[in-house]
Amino acid sequence: MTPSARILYMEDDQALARLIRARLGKAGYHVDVAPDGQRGLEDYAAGRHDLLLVDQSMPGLDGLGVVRALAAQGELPPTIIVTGTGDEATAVEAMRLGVSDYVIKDLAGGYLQVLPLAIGRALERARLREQKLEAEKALQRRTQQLDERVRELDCLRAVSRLLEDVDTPVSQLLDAVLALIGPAWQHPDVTCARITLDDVPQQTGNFRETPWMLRAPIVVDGRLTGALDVGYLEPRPDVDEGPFTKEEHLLLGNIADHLGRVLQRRRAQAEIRNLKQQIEFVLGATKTGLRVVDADRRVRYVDPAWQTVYGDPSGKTYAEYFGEEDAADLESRFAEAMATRRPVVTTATLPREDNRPVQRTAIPFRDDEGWMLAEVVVDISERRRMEEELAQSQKLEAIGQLAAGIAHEINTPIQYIGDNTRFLQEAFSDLMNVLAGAGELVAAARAGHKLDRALDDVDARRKEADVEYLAEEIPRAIEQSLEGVNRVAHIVRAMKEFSHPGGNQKQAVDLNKAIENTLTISRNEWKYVAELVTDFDPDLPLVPALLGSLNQAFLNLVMNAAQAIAATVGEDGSPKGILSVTTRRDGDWAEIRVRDTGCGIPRDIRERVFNPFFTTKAVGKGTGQGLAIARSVVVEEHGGSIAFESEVGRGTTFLVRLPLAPRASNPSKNQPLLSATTPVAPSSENTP
Amino acid sequence: MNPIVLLVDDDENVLHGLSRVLRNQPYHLFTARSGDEAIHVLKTHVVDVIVADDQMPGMSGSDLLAWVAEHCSEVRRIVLTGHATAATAIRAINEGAVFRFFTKPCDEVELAIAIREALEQRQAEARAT
Repeated sequence: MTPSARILYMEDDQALARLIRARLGKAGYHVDVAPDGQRGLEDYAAGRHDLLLVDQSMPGLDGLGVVRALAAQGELPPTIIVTGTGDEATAVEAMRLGVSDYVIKDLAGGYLQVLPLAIGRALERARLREQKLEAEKALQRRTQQLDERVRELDCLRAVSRLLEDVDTPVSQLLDAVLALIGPAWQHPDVTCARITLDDVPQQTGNFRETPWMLRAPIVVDGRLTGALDVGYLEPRPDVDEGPFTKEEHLLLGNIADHLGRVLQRRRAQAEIRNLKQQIEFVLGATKTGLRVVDADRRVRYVDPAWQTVYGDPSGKTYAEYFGEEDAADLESRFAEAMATRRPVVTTATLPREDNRPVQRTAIPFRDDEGWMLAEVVVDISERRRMEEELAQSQKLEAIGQLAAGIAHEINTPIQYIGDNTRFLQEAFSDLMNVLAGAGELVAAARAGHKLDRALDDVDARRKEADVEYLAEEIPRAIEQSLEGVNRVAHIVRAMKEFSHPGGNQKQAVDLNKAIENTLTISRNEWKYVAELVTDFDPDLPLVPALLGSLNQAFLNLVMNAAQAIAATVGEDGSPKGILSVTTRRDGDWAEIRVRDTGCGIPRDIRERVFNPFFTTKAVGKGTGQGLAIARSVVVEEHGGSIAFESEVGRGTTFLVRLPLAPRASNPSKNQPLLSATTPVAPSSENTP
Repeated sequence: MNPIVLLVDDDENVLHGLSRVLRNQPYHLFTARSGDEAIHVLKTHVVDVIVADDQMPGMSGSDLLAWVAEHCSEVRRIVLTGHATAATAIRAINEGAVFRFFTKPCDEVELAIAIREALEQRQAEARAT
């Protein structure tokens, strides 16, 4: 019982009213008294009372009238009617109108005892009813909130699922998201929505700007890219934020965030796809291969061209995919790349692709999953072919330069072979004439004629033919002609052997013979200025070599020597210089020395003589490639060494050392013939 | 007295061959194996015609003929070269003022005729002076 409960007592009998107020005051109630129904209603309207105590019989508006009036206004407050007359009809109507109790004034005054209890009951009932109402309201509210939450979550889940689908075009995706927003809001029928991306809006059919809008920003990649707007088309009762709930605001933010992330991912994926396409296009167009292997030797990527040859690499190890042999090969490059953290460049041929030659660059790199090896494989068949053609054309060019000299070397023997043959033709005819005379002499003798005339005739013919001269000259003419024929044959054979392409596989080469051929075809270049001294080691083993390249290198050295000598001999008609070529074996090496007594190499250019395009000769006389090519051939193609020792005014000796056994593949051996090379400084170990 | 024809070539076999095919011609054949040798002959004999190779060790044929044109221009000059280049020919004509220019291998009859013509021209000139 709340002691502070206020009771409004409507009673025209003031004495009774005082009495009851006193009685109820003892029970802890505060009682206001209104003298009639009309005043009572007015006092109640002031709104401070928890319970009404109404006398039935009052002048003017009676108790029932008051209850009727209150009932008409809404729910009846806790009301007790007190009546002196036990009129049943009145009681029934009062109860029907919802009064809490109906107390009859008995004359014994017992009702004064009853009244506080009735009041307590009525107040308790009112309190319970209030509590129940509140509980119901709370439940209803909770239920509504849960509904909202479910709708929000449904919406968010639907949006998520929608955005996971990477194949749907963006605009279609946005339409679907817009369609999901309406049903998630409190008033779906008046909800409209719009997504604006990069100033391009996409919206629900009913969208328009209204005073009731919510907005959330869409951020892609840290940049404000657009906004998500939701609005009500018509006013709705205010809740948390205008007509919108806090949850709706949150949901809107969530959807916008989600959308931003998905767009970001989509853009990244599109970019990756584009990049991949571009890269694969470039790879295809340039016949470049790309493969990526991880530390477990699993194939992470191979370009499309490889996939057409080797199939799908997914899940396969390198060995399974490319074969054991290639894998072992890769292992060594992987190890080297990991150890040095630098690209490893090698060359190879692809056995499953017609043995086409490739250059492989293995590049180590690290990503989130650890160390990987990316290998770029470039087709170099074109380069190889061009290198071979270049080497061949350089050889032919050398022959072209030698052509004048070779022509002289050939035309001179042809001249005297021709002369001698004419001479022999005449001599034969002369001798036949003498023989005819001798025949006539024999016939005359057999016939027993006088022989004087016949003898004179033979003498005359002998004299005419100059038999003594012929007897002396004919053998010489034959001998010299054969010598000439041999010379021509020798030159032609040397030319053929020198210019033979020889292929790109090393073969066993007789160095002595190769050098002799080179000296033969270049003879006209040095024979007027130099005496040739050769000292060939007859026991020199065959050397594994690329004959064509090696011939070129020797020719370049011989030509240089001849020109060095010519520089000193030509000037003052001084005697010829000496061109000396020797071969010998030194352990596992073959040594070739080309020595000249020419002008020597000035000290200040010694560092540069092996550089491509470096030349001291007049324009048109030298390309500056001679020694660069010689070095490339000896060092890069054969794993040998080349060095020189020179004294200005005294001459130069070049020493070439070639390994007698094939050496392990030199990684740089397949570099272009004309690649920049560093000069090998002569060292005491290499020089005589 | 028979006229003198001087053959110059660094290759002895060429000299032998030419001597054999020209042995019955009405002139003496002298041979020299270098420019220096040829100049020695020119200084010691009255040479009428000189037939010289171009490429030789030491003094080249062009140099020799240029020397002849300068020092004994009455000697008729014929070139017989193993390899004719435009440069050789121009030099022979301009500096050597040569009578004929042959390349090896040449027909010995044509060479013989050229020598004869040179001799006739030489003799006509000698008679005129």
